[in-house]
Amino acid sequence: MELSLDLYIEGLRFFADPMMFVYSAFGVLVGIVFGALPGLTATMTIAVFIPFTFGVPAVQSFAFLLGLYSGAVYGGSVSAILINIPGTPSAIATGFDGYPMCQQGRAGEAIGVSTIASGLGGFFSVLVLAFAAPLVASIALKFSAEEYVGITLIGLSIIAIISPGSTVKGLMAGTLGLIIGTVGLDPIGSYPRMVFNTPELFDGVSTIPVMIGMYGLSEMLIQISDAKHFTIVSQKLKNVLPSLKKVIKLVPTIFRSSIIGVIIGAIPAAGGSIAALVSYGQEKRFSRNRDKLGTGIPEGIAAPEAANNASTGGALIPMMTLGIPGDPMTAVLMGGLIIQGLRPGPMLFQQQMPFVSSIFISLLVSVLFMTILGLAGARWFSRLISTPKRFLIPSILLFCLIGSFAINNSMFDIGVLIASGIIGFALRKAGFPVAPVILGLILGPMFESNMRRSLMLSEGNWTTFVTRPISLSFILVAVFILAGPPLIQLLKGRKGS
Amino acid sequence: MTPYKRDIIAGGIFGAGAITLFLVASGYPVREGQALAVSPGFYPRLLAIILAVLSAIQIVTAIINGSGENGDEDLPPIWKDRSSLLLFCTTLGALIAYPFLMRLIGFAPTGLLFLGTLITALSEGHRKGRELFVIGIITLAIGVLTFVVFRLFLKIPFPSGIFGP
Repeated sequence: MELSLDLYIEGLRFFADPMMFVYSAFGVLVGIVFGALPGLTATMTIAVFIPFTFGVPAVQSFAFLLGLYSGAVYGGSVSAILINIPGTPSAIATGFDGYPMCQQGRAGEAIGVSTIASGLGGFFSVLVLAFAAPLVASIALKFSAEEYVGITLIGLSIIAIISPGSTVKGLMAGTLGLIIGTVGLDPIGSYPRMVFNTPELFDGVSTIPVMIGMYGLSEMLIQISDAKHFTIVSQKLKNVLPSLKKVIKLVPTIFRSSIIGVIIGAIPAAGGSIAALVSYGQEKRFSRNRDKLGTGIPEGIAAPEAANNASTGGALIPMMTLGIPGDPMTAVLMGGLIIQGLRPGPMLFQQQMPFVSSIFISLLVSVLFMTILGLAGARWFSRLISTPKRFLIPSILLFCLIGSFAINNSMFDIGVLIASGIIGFALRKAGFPVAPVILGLILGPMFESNMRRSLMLSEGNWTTFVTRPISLSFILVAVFILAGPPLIQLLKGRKGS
Repeated sequence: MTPYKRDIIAGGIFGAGAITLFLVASGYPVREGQALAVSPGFYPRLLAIILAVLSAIQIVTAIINGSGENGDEDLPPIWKDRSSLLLFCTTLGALIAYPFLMRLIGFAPTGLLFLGTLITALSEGHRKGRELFVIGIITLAIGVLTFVVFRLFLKIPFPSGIFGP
């Protein structure tokens, strides 16, 4: 399967409708606004806005969501530079040099460099996505149920990596997500499970209200309980647009970091924050100005920003080709595809190729809008940081409520949202991560149906999963991801003693 | 509360949930002549066992770590102070009341009431004279914007209450 020029032209046809550009630009704008506000993550932003794309055609809804995605990842750098608080986790490394530049009165220059590096990194990732994704999808088309069990196991084992602190807690949260995924009619025999005579539960628990509750609602409740709803004062900007000479000097850094970003982004569970930190680390080894890193130099901003934006396209590769979200952000994006009746995976490439190519083009358009809006609106975005949270928190809570209702026009879903928000709040306060719950909820039904289908065909013979070489190798990778880190630690401990 | 005590309690709650799930799933039917793994109760029971094992690990780890040197260090409180607890309860109350009120008085008035209540509650120290007027204007602006976007533009069929949509 190849993505020929004809198919790109078919994807381009969608862009004859000016609304595609309106949705993309609006998504970028909203994404930057939310990404720039400390405490509002890119994942939360996408989760809160997904329901509003429900009545919109799939191509336009994805133009909006990808705009949100790119905008929010970039927006995180604004607050990292101005107040040394990353708006999103992927902007952690941006503050290392961004904030010192701001303290030297060069905040405008720092934001300009961040915008250009983000734009170039994002552009690079779209190119890689467009070439690599069809190749991976063509291989995945040959997979059967057994291989999908293996792949889903890899997806689930990611929980062990994305759980900061205790791995056991991450696995417990992931199992909770898997259990929530069993509610409703069972996928093989349609036997009702844990529905408590509630007709709304027969189709299972709606994924989107759970996502909004776990990310949006619980985050707002945490901010209220920790009394974080006070105002932050921002700083004024000047000289935002960097000179061409300065940009050319940064090209090697941006190119190096973009490659790192795409590769790390495509590795399940790695994500933008790791990409940014690794590329910053590489800059410390290879940059001509490595001794000055941390004191406020443009290379220190260009490296993490190019990398975290390049990771966006990379992260879409496993999600779109295999249907396995590599991180919480792509898990939520996958929810956006599912409510449109589209199932990510190799079949999407075979049956909906014009739509797939429109996704690549949408990502490219959103990167362009991000660069233009980022440079043109930098002064305005910097003022956003001082938006009082006493106005923001109630507005976001209202969006959460309306969004949950809008998916199925159901009051029951508002109940699901509130319950998920309270559970998410309790989990986070007890030191449990919420991302594994979402991964478990999304991957659980896929895992169960493929596992039971394989067992039915093999008449209950479990060896069917290990007698097929590809399935076996996937299972081994999953086992390595789960057991590798503790084993390495154990071996290190023995060596030390 | 110490982190270890918290982990023991959390492990206990998850463990109790796992046992309940196992018992419920054990009541699901198993067809004769069919492999157990294919029955609807197999997968939930498998998950219940996994959760029970993880809960046990969590409790044992917490007990071992809790008896160490830093076993009595306290966690920060769930609510920063009394006023945070009050705000939290007000927010939760407003969230729970929202669907009932929307059915009763309609989408637009409920939105205004929800925003007005929460913005006022969160505006501690900003509730005098002109500031109250600002709260009112902002509440109205966000309320109208929400109505225009979601009811008029996206055409979401919200329930109509006694005051209309």
